[in-house]
Amino acid sequence: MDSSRFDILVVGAGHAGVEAALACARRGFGVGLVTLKRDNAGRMSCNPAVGGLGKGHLVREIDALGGEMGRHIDEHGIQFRMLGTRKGPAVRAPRAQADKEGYRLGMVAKLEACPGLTTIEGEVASIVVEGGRFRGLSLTDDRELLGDALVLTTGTFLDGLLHTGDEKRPGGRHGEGAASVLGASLKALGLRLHRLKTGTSPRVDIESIDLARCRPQHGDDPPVPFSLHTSSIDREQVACHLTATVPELHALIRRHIERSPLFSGAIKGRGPRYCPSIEDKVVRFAQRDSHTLFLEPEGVDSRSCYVNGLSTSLPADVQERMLRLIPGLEEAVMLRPGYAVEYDAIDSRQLKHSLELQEIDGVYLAGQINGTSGYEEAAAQGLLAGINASLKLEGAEPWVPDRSEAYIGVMVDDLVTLGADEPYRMFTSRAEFRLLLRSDNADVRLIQKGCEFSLIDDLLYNEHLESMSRVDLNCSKIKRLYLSQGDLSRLSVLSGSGEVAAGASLAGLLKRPGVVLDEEIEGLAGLEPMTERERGRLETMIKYEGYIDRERRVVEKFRRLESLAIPDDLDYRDLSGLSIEARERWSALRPQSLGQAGRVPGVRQGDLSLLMVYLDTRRRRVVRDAEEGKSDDV
Amino acid sequence: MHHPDDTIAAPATAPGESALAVLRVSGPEALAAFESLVASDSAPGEWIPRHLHHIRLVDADGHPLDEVMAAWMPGPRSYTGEDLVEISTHGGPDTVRAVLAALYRQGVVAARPGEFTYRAFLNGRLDLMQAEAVAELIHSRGEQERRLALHQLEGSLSRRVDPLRLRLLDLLRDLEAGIDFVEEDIEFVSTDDLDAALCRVREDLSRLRASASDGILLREGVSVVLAGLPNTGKSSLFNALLGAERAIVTEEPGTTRDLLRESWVEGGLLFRLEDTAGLREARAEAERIGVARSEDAVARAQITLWVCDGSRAPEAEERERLARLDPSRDLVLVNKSDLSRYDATPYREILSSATELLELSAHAGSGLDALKSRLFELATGRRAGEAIELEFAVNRRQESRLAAAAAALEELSAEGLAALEPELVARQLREALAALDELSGRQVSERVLDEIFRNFCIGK
Repeated sequence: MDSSRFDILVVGAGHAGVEAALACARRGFGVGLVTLKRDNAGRMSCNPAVGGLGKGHLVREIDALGGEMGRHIDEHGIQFRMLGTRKGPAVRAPRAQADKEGYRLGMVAKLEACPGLTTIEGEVASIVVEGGRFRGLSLTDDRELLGDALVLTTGTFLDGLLHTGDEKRPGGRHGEGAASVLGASLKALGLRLHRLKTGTSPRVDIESIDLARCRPQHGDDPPVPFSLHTSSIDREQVACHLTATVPELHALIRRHIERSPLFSGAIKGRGPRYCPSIEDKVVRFAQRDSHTLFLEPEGVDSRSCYVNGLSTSLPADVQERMLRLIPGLEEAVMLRPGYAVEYDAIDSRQLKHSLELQEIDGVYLAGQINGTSGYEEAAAQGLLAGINASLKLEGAEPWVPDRSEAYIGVMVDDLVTLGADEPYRMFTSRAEFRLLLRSDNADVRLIQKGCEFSLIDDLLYNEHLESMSRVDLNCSKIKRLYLSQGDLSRLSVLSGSGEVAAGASLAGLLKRPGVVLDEEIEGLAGLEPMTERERGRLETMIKYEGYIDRERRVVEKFRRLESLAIPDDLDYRDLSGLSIEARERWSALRPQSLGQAGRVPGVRQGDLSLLMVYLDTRRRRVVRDAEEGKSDDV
Repeated sequence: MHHPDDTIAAPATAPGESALAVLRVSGPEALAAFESLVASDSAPGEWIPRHLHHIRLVDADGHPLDEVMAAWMPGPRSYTGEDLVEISTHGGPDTVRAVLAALYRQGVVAARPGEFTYRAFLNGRLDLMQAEAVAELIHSRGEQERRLALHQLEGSLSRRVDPLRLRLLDLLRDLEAGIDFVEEDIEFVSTDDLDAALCRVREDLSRLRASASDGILLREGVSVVLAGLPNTGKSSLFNALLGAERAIVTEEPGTTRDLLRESWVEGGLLFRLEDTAGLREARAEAERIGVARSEDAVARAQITLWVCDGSRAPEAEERERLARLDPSRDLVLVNKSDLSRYDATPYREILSSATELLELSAHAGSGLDALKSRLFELATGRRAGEAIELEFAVNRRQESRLAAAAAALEELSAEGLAALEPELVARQLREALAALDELSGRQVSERVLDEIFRNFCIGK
């Protein structure tokens, strides 16, 4: 039997797997990356875009920690837009359309060039565990790979089943087979699995679309990059186009609804509510006679265009007829029909916050296998799992950001505490400390950590420190400035309205709605030149000052509860008076802190107070016993 | 609080003279400690749970203490969830003290206030709201309050708060949908609609708080202070209002040097009255301290009655004070209307038009009923004779949560909404919801997303 040895094994080379593999290799560990097909590393199997609200925040965090996704999308992005600019600065996030082929090929090249990283083509048959510890993998071709830790990122491949109409075939995504034997191995290890579902839209030939009948949507000029590594985006930018569904299309869908596996009952898995299929939209929101569709080019050289908003699993012939009814797509040539995919995910409540399985030492899970959806969610978990797997090999404690530090922390805590009964996507509304977790300050929050993990080099870190002091300097310049009569008459934002009296502070003026930190104000205050990102951060620091201070006080309270650890050996049966629900859920989940215990659904304040009092009396008893023990010795 | 392994004891009935007083002993040693007090010839052969046993108690020296009825309630089926002995003694404070002292000698410790309820809570016999309601029950005075406390045990506060929470949750849902789904071509909620909805929530919340403050008023009563220059008849008025000779009344100014406290009930409301030393430049040290205390009492009181002597002209010190009274909490009483040289006019001329003046005579007892009615009106904002009917009562902690919710929403006035970015509006809504959640123990975040997906067609 052929047997190779690595420090860390990574299974799957999607967005989670590549982050895990690169992070471990860059931290100096020997990595074996097992994938069904080497050339599909970093492939975007759904829409050709990265970022957006919540997701863009995650990418900025990945970047600050030294992950790959931010700089990679900057290299392969063909349209960049900052979303949420009409809202406040805390909920702005970058989004970019990607050149899919470029993105994939670029990632394959990076993996090949990475020292210490070996890519192995093959399918995993089983995970070898001895005495509750990971030992290695055996592949379906009988090869054996040994390692001290595993990061498992199977995406939608675990018992994947593709549906187009009543046609179904095993597969992880279009044109690729499923991982069919690994699922049995996971079940044999005692893991609970559940079935999820997601869908994708048809692709059409962009040359066959009458774009003149669609509304163009251009990117920002200049484009704002995701990554700290990127100084500017120089490549050619393209436009997306908007069109919409029409009542005739809705009628067509209704006539064929029984041919959709989603409605015929053929699909058992639960799909995401935020990304509903067009069948879902038409049935559930029958009162609407039109839904927006986004025509997203999949590359600069590619003719493929992704019809975003038209996710469907109806039969291919119905999809063809649907397209013909859409303004601008009357003559469209469908390159590939949309489809739904059902796959197995594990119940993420079996994980620790480090993404290691509670019951199996050295096995980390990341990405869709944990029930999430989205490239960004997967990449963030992959990076965290990779960091923690490598920390474990170093004998160090895992790194677990909490809910007040990072969206990654919010996501992991949600997965571990609440589980994901539908594919989990990041939203800013999931973060209770949204004003602190912004895309403009991801580096302020996390780059120090990236540096500690040796994933951020000194050069970038020093640039960050300079950037911090530049923003601080500019902030104090603004705070020191009081407006003279002459200043007032020069500021076009006031347009001589006389609303502001001489002697008013510039900081006060900036706190007004609609007043933005523009070149005019920068000139007036004599600010040092800043990047777009720095300007955003400075503006937020001033505009939100009072709210940020308040939020910080809430964070202190939150951290106190997080720091009250619950001992691993606590037997919830000892707490008489707990509601049955709380006892069952806490016993099953084993929350690590009082804070986490409070977030478990179905738990009441009374249960939590009881637990708090119990822990306190237990602690006091331990102290008392220790003191008595001491006096016995004397 | 003591360690749960300790056995605690305390009277369960209010202190003072009564026909019977109930003592409770709770904890692992409850029965053993109690048994050591039982005269050997009166000990039951077997302690039958939850039955009354007639027993004679003796102290360590064998001297009789009392004849009592006692019941043994083994845990967990007892009030505290622990082994519990309930002893009904014959009333008098001395008897109660003696029985307790004998128990303490057996290693039992004195229960802290609320510790029985705390243990009941600790042992899962009560939830937090119930525990709070029981605390209210214990402290409640009068029938109406007892009814309120019972009501709350059944969750009537939650019934009032829940609809408000749901409406805020709806608004938050709309707002969050607008933030997370910027690309959607939907206006989730217009600023005008948001403003109108928030206005209604604020109004309902303030009505809820008004009822809440009625509850606090009923429970805690109204503090009223008598203040004024020496020898204006404050102590006579004190006695007259109480209908009893509690304060020493002399012709000598400065007789009252310390604070005297008594209470009476008017319209179901408890008025706690304090008599104070006259406010003036004190001559003696004791009087000086008395005057300082009077000033403190005035500052703390909800209502101050400024007593003046109508048989003489206002003094300079008095003029200064009376001119700057607060009409919402100060009443001016021109006393001694029974004297022939009485004239209230010079006092009336000093006062601002909003400050109220009542003429009365503590000595003759005239004008007292009018005063009591006015006090009721001032304290409750209701007309005298109108009953205070409440659906529920809240305690201070609960009121503070309602106040926190109101404060968070206060910033979202029409101008506030125009000036704040949506995520700041959402932040304020979340803060308000978090405060209301502390009353009912629910979580916000996941509910918001559920609501968004139920109500909007979202996602590409």
